Amino acid sequence: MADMNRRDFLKVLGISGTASACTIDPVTPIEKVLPYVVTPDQIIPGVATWFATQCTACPVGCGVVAKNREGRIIMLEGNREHPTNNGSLCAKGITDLQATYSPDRFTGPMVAGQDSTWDDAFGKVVSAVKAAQSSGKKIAWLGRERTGATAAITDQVIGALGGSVTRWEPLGKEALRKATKAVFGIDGVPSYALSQAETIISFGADFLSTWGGPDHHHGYGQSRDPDHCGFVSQFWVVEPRLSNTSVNADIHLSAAPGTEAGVALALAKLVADERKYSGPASSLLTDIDVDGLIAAAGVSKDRMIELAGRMAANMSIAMPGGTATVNEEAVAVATLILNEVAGNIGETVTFGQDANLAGVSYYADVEAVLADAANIGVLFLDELDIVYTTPGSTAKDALALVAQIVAFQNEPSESLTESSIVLPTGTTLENWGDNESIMGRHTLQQPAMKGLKNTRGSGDIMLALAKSLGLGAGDDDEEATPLPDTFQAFLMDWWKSNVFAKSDATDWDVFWRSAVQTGGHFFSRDVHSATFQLASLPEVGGTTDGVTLGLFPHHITYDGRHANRPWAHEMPEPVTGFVWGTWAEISLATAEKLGLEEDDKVTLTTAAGSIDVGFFPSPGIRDDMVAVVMGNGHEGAGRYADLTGANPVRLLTSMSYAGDKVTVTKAGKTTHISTQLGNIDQDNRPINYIVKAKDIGTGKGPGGLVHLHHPPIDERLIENNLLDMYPEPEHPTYRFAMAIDLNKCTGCAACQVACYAENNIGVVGPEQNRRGRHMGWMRLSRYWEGSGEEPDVRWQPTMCQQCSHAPCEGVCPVLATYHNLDGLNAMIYNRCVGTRYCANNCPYSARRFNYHTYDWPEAFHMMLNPDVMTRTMGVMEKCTFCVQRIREAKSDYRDHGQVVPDAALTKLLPCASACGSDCITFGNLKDPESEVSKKFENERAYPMLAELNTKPGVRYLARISHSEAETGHGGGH
Amino acid sequence: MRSQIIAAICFVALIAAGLTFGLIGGESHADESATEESSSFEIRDVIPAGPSGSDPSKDELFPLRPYALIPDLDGQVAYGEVEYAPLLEQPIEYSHKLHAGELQIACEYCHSQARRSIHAGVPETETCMNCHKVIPNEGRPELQKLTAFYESGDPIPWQKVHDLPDFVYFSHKRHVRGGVECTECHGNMAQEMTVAKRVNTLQMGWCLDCHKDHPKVDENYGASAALRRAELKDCLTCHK
Repeated sequence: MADMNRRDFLKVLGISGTASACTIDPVTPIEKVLPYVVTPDQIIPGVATWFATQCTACPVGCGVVAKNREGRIIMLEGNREHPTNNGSLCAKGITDLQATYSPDRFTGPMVAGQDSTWDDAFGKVVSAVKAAQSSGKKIAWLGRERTGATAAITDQVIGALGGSVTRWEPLGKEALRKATKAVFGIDGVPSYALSQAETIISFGADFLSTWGGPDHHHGYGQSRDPDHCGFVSQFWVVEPRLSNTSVNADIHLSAAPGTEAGVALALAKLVADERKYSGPASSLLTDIDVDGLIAAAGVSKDRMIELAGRMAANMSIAMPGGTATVNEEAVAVATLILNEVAGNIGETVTFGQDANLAGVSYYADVEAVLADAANIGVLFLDELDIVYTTPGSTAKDALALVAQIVAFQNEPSESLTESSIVLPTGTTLENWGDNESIMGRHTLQQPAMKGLKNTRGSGDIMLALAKSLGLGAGDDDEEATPLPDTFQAFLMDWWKSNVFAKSDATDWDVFWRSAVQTGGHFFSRDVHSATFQLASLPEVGGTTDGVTLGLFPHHITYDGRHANRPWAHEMPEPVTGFVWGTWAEISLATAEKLGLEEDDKVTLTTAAGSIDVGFFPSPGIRDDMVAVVMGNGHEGAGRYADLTGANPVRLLTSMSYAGDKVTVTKAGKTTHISTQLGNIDQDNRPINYIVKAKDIGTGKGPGGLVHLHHPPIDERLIENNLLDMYPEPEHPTYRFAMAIDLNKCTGCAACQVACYAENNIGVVGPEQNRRGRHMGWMRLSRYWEGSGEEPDVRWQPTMCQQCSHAPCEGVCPVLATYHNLDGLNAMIYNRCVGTRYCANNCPYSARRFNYHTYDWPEAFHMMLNPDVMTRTMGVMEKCTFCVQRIREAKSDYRDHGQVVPDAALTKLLPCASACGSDCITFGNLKDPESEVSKKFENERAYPMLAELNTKPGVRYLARISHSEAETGHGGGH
Repeated sequence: MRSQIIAAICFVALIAAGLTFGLIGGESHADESATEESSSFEIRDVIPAGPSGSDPSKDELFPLRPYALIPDLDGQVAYGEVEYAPLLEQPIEYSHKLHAGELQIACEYCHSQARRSIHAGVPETETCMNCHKVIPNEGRPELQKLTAFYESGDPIPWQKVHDLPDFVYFSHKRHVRGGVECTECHGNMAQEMTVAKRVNTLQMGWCLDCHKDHPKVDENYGASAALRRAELKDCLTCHK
């Protein structure tokens, strides 16, 4: 190699390098293919079967359809036939899919902490019941809200044993229920029809998040839509803080904690005077000291008069207080009075389609049971973590006194004692069941998959118990039919006598099959008004010294029941962006006074105890209030539930989630929680726009109302077709596009969870989240543009914009990403070498890189969608507009030689289908009649960062603002 | 002279780097694990075992792997050059020559979902028993194996002969309805094979040979055949 020059040297290197590379063998293992022995009728391997069932993630009782692929449920979507949710499904509901595959599920019954068999465990239960009966001790049932046949079996069996059934929901609307009883004499809660209201005023109810159901989202979305009823509703809140719901408000009147009821009464008086109200509430209004109440609350009188004027002039709705509201019952009564004088009763606040609270108890009943614990021989606990959700040690001490606890639950919880008998009942997807959460709406739950563990439904256990104890259908009636063998049979009998009998159907078999297929049977009930009969005003209370504590439920973990779902924690909480932890919302001034820096923890101390949590400096909370998220901080409730955070219920001195006095001090420790919100300042970039309500209807053509931030374009570029650097891509048949209506987006984050569920997105955990390796393809950016009375908080669901002139495509050295014929920005995982240049170039920061291979602990791997590849380390991923669903739809329609019609596309994607306020529309832009084409032509539609000329396939419809003020920069033109 | 030394040093550095990253060295991972000696890289060495000892996936909350998990191979590969296609040992020595050839049972009688689903499916044991429950199996060990499987309730663990990587989307439905004959890809099972054997490479280039140029596309699509061909060459058509 004498005198080798550089060129020859490089040649030699190159050849030897390639030669060595060729010795690598391809590595793909031999797989097995396992056919069925006898294929079930409904299963075609490779084609999904959808089963209609119910969602039990919260007491609202929506209908879901469960996607079954080869015997495993891999996705949940809302059931379009169900009148409560109309096809949408909230974040809690989708997250509940993980309950079935949780690695902490009990594999079978357990007795005193040891694995056992059904015969053994059940036998012990029977003997415990017999022992209780012979020693004169009581039988009691303490559990979650159940209705329909599911409740009937329990009532029947426990009733036959002479026991008591107490069903309690920690976040049940007790205050509102008591208020409704006092004001209207009805034992229930009214329905809130938001779509008709031009003014929505809320006194703390988190109605777009954890308070109530998807009908609120739907109604809210419709009330904000100028094309729906001709108006755009204005949303006012009277609250000492801003919740996930109230950040959407146009006007925020920051009332001192405890004075909201007074504000409601003052408002009622103002409205009544304005409307010249003379109904049954008039006598109560005379004693209301408007000025005094307004001054005590510290809200602006001008705003109150403005609001009263609006409520008198147009249809309005007043929502009551929520979990974090002090004196919740007084607030509830006051808002019902307000609704009455505003003329809303029977219009927007209606009765007749109320929640079915017949079997639901108050906390006082729970206390009575716990107080009597020493006299209880057998306590059946039905999926209620009473120790976690109640303050102090009353529950824990009481449970220790009970002779035998029989727990119907699938995962460990804080309420299990050492001697408990655990009978795992299986999850919602594995059992028969039903609900009638709303009067007249009978939802049916059918097993959508075979039980994963050795479980038996609670109904079956109750029937077996009844048989073992010799309980018949009725002791005195000799002709009584014996109890059926299975709960399925009991359910069918119950439906025959209670639902079929009241319906118009004549053939039972047809009725039953249709009910199972549809997901239930829904009677339409007339809504009606109610008569005001309140005798005296509620005690309103005033401000007190010190800082008030209020708890609010996490948007997914709810009251703590979903804490062991990794998705519940991995999803950033929309307002704060926090993942994996508990935090306290404190005011900016308090944070500054305490000298808090980004990763600090704070110690909250009340009379009951103290906890250390992270903090969020919120522009929307008062100095005299601290709000803490609840749902986390378990001990012994599963690996994810135990992971981080603290339980703020430990701070309560009584069963009231708001009202205790708390002191906040710097804890000097660092916290694990991190925020996944990126830059929350728009920095004058054209990202999120608002348009004025008064301008609606004046803009002509697409984006006519949105003043995009353009530098002036030289006309000659346009004339000579030189504006675009790249040629226009061709889209012969489809150009898939998405329109997102920012005016309707409430920031609930259901779309995010749906995306995780559909696309096998890895959960990375708190440590990796701190490093910014959150893998979510769709993020919910939150921009807090305003301050004071007009918070102007805006949401921006951001995902890959599927640009026609994508900055990411040109820089990929291996062409792993390119623009395809359907308008999608394709991402081919196995070609990607992990340069990360594409992510660098993406102006929307839409791409996520796999810094590790994120594996799934057993049995989450069974939940994976087989249509989507799981990505490994070194590969880029991003929103694909769920190309697997598009591909499936195209294939199905190609069987008939057709192009996919718009009706099949609008809610095809899981994000679009999950959204409760219908803000995401998907479709084909090549079809001028499609929904998305029309939305693209809307005067409010604009592409994000338009000046970069990326020609995205996503357009946003700007949020409509009622603000009179001239909004400044930050996109808010 | 100096240039030679520099060249030599660079060359050695490159080789060293190559060795470090496992790019060269001649041994594939397959051979290493097959010889039962500890291979140069064990996933378990990087991720510490949890309290349950051997299976970290049971203890970890957020399992992170350094790269894809590649299980043991025994030197066999599922796709690639036909010369390397192993004759897979199946649990029952089923003969296509007898059933599809002599008895002339149609492909789709057993592989019944071929025109309805992405998977053609391997027949359920019930399909076999449709005939075999009336066929005597004394002295016929393979039939006895079949009956044993049926009665045990376990699925027959066939080794997958035509396997594609997980990142590939292949729809039998589209090909069958497009008019592609089973034998074009799977070979002449009826005349030439007892136990199924792979006779094509199944690699992307081989798929593209037809996707770029197959007479059925013109037949089915006529005027829009050119567009269809363009769609068939689109990466997203097959890569998920």
